[in-house]
Amino acid sequence: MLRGFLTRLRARLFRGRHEAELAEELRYHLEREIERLVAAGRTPAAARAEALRGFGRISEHQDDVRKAWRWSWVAEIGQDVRFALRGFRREPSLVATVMLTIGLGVGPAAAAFTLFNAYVLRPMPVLEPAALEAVEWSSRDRASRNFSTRQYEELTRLPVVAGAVGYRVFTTRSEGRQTAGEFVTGNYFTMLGVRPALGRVLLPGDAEAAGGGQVAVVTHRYWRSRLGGDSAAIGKTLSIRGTRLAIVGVAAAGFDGLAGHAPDYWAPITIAPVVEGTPDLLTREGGEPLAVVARLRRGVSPAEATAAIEGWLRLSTADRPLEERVIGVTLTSKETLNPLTFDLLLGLAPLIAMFALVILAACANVASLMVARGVARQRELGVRLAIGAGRGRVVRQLLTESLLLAVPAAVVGIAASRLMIAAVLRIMMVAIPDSYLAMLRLAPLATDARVTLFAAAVAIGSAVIFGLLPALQATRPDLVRATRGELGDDLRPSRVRRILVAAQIGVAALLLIATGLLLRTNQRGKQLSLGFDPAGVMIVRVADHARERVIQHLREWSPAGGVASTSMVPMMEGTWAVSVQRARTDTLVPAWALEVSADFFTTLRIPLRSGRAFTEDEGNGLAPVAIVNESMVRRMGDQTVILTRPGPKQEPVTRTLRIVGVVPDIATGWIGFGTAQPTIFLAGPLTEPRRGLLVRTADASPAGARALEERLEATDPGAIDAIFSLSDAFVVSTFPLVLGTWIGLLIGTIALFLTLSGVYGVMAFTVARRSREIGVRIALGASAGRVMRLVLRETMTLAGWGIAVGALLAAAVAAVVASGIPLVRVIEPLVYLGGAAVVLAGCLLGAAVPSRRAARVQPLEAIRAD
Amino acid sequence: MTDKLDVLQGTLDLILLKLLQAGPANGWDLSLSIQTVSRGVLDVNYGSIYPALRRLEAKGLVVGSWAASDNNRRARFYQLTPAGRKQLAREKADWSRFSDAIGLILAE
Repeated sequence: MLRGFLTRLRARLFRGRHEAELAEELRYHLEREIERLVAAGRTPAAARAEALRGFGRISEHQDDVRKAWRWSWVAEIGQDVRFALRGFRREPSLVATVMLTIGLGVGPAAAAFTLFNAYVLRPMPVLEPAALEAVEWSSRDRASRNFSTRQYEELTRLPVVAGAVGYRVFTTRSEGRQTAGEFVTGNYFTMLGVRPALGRVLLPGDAEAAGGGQVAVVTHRYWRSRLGGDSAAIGKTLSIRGTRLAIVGVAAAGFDGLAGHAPDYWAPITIAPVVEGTPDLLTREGGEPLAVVARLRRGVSPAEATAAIEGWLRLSTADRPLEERVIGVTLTSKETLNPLTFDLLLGLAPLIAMFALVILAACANVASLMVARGVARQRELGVRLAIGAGRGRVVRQLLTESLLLAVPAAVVGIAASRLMIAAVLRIMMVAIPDSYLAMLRLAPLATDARVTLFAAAVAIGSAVIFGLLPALQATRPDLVRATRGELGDDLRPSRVRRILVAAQIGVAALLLIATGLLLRTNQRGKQLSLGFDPAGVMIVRVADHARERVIQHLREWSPAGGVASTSMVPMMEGTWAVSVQRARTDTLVPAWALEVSADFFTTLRIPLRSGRAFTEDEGNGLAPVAIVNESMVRRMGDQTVILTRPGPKQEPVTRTLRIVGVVPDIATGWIGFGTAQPTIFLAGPLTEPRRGLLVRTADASPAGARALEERLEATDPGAIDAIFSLSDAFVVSTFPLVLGTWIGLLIGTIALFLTLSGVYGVMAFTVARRSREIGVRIALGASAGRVMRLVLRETMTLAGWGIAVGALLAAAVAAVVASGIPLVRVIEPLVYLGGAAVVLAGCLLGAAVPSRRAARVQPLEAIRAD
Repeated sequence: MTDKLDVLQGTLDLILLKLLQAGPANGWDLSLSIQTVSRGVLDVNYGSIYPALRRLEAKGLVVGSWAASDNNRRARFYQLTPAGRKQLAREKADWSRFSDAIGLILAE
């Protein structure tokens, strides 16, 4: 081979001389032939004519020889493309199948990538996003601290910082809707370089006077959806907690602030003390109202900046008590909404694996088809190999065909991804209650250059995977057999194809069984005995300064119901994680804890199994009493417990509590965690600030909520920060499971479809390949039924293996998930059987047509066929 | 290319390798041999022999060099390489299996 290579290389380098040599060879032959013919009796002229005739067209041969030597890549690629396109025109169904199959494989991945792109990869639409860093610091007693106004000003003057903005997120109800806003420093828009789409942006002048600057800039989104999207919006007012802010501008489209959650408006920071009802918000010593995002000076690395800021903070907090001094500074890149970190990718790994599985299934499917096609073209390929085209050349040509198919497949994939995203958004609109939907703000999910590139790359990668193996297999050097149109070794390609199909069946089984398990979890979640009656209960968040008055009004208006406060709203928020023990020497048992007011249990209609509820005095006095659930009693008995809880200064706080009542297990955290966790309720005051209020009313529908809100608004304008129904909270709690089920169903269906077509392709090809063998069997007396059973038996074997492996993997994944989410159960025989049945049905369906075709083979034709 | 050329392309290489087994020869000698040895049955387009020889050379199965022919004119002579010898053996084996199989089917 080396010699051949060198010869070719030499020819390429000395092309001119080579052609001259060839001409000389031909001349020699011609002369000798003419001599011979003349010697045999022809006239010289006739001899010459005859000699030339026998030679054929010289130019043609010269061309042919030249082709054997030429390595002209560009010309060859052009040839390949033209050849491939001709082939596709002859087989439109194959092209359509490959496009659809790869497109369906690429689609889900592209949809997921669109999401990933919107939240992690797309740069913020601001000036120099790469230099932006969110700054936080930590001390011994608190892990995440923000900055006071004075600290913010000092930070701005540090040499490593080119500029910094501060902001403060604030949510309340305004005009009957949840409205989120940010109070920002005067330089916010100018530092970030965000332009107005209408009117003006906030300027430093707006934030000069304390309590001044009653203006606001709204987001583009808010302007389109709530203000009519026209120029009349300028001059309208926003009512925030009773304060009227004049709208002076609309921000450029696409800018949604720097925090994770998109706001509706921005207002100057100086208005915050007024709105929040804390006049010393910005001036209070030790207050930390501002979250800060800084732009690093050019040339300063994040590491340098971190060190510099930490150094400054050390000086700044030196005269504070030990546990309030700085111990660390964290810089988080604000180039994109969420920084791309290794941890993030690790967390997304299971999802990435799932999408990769679907793509691989699609590739396996198409590879099967390509192998079948390669065999059908064996004669053509054999001739090309015999002519002298190197194996590499033919493989390159087959690969070009695959790549050409990849391009339309990418287009189909992108279209599919957009459909999927639209479908998921629809599901969200339907499954999430309106009150929560209003709070949902998604980043724009557009198919930009990055997504397109991603889809193209995945499609091309798939093309290489599904094109290379068959190309290599189809061009094995075997001249005689090739020209005869016979495949070489029967066993090997068959095994590869069988493994491919079994793998696809396995993937489909895994996905469908996993979806089934999610569905069952979903069902169980919906039917979960919450331990309380959420119907008719409203969750109300109140501004601290109006809390007492609102509570009074609520008590007056719903005498039959109750009003209670809780540290965390059940199902919506997490609980405190604590440890309990019976005596100091006992082992610590992890438990959940909430601090609730006296009427908590009556408001939620939680029955008492024994003992009594708290009294109002006990609640106001934070008495050392506790109410526990039955799971706790089983572990700890019902007398006294000692509770250990992480305290404010990182030192655990211990309390000894007397148990006064026992309630059944109730759902306090996310329903996925179930209700069987030992839970302890502590006594707390109704008037404790910043806690959610639970109110039982006669009518908790959206209309009822509105009515209640209006009544409260009339007496205490701007007092309500949020109002939801507890039933809605329950629906939202189940939403992740609902979404997961739908997505699993979507992807599982795609995988099933791929399996169906994969089985069809392989069986059809096998039947065609072995039609001779089948013909012999029929000629020897086999019945149609027997032949069909033969084909189906092969299908069943593959299906059996695939389903078994898929089910095992599904069980393994479920076991891992169930360890964290008790609502998921691994042993669900119906799900496994159902999933297996569906996949099996799909396989049998796919094999139905080929098996019928096998039964209809005409023996004589089959044996005679070449 | 005509059909005739297609069919013979695969076997032409085999024929040339075999003929070269006897010793080095130039293109004209080989074309004469084909006619003679096959007793006129095989009718090859002589012009296809040279491309075939170049192909074999490109694959490293033969090696070519200029030398004086029997009428003292300069001609290019081709010689089998060890790789060529191996390929010949392989193709001979294939061919005999092929013809045996045909023979079996045609037999009564």
